[in-house]
Amino acid sequence: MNAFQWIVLPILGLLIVERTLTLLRGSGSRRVALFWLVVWCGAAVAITWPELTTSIASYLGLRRGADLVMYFAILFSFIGFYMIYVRMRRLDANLTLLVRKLAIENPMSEVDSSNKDNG
Amino acid sequence: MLVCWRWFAIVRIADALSLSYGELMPEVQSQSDAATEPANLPTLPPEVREQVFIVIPAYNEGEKVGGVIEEVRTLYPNVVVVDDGSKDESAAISARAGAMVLHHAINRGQGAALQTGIDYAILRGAQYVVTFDSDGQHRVEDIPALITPILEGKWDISLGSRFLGGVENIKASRKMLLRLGVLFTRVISRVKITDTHNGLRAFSRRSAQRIQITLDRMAHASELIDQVRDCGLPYGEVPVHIRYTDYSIAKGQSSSGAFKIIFHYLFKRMTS
Repeated sequence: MNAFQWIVLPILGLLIVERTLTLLRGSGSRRVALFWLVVWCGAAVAITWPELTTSIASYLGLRRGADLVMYFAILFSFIGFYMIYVRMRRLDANLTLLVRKLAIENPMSEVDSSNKDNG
Repeated sequence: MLVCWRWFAIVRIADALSLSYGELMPEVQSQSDAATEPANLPTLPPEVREQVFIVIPAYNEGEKVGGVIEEVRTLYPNVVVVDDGSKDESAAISARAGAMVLHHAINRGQGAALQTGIDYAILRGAQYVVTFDSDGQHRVEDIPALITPILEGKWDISLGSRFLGGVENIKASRKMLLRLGVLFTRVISRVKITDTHNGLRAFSRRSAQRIQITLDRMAHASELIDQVRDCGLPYGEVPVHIRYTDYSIAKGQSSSGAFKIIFHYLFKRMTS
């Protein structure tokens, strides 16, 4: 094992244990926990056997395993940004609905619309 | 080189727009026979005026909103001001001027404020809803021209057009931007109207009930055009006059905001 593997693998091991415990406890979203478990396990496998990613990369027409990991990391980051943005917009829309409901239920002052003095 | 090319492209687009602007006359109906002189404008009977609700979104408009409300209320008693989380005295001033005031606890943008006002007007039994700006750029004299076609059953939604009517003190850059907005709407929304970003509009009750603005900020104008097109009710353009003042220019959208508006609008179209 090289120095990089000595540093990163224990951290990944801790993350995998933490996610597994979350899954077993059933706290939080199972889907999210499972997603991160797969990501951390994949990272651990790729770091432990780097030649594995290289062989997958060459199968896909890329030269280096690192390139493959980089491309997927960028792709998933953008998908992540998009999902966060969509969720943020939904939150924003819900916030507006709440603000609107409060505003309509509590008008600050009212003038009787049957007031004909100004008509 | 890139700058030169961009400038060349802008000039070409501007040329194309000004040359083809005559063609931009609406395929939708337009009240072009309506006279533009205030003296000849149709007036509305008092019983109709009482059914009209004027919705005015306001954000930090304390300086102008009071005067605007007083002017509107000389003829139209039902004024709904939506104070969009202003940090100044807009709400108190509006209430003192006799408006019904709704208060957004936090700023949600003009689109959100308009929808709040429209919802409230419908709730209060409005038969006609007019959207009106709080900065004094719209004229009360234009309201009858917007309501009359709806009243006569000609169409359900009147869209004000400054390019069929008139506009005072408009900067050339703003005029070009608005024309680009018209072109954008023609290409993206496939709606041929002459002024897509005019806040002065009137809705019949049933059309107001079908409008649901979801884009909170300034991109709502483009969204509204799509909803007008899709709501299945007839619409038309009415000549109106816009008065740009130093105040309204300072308070209005910066031209660079257009890119943000386009992004929000296109994102909404892609994700819905």
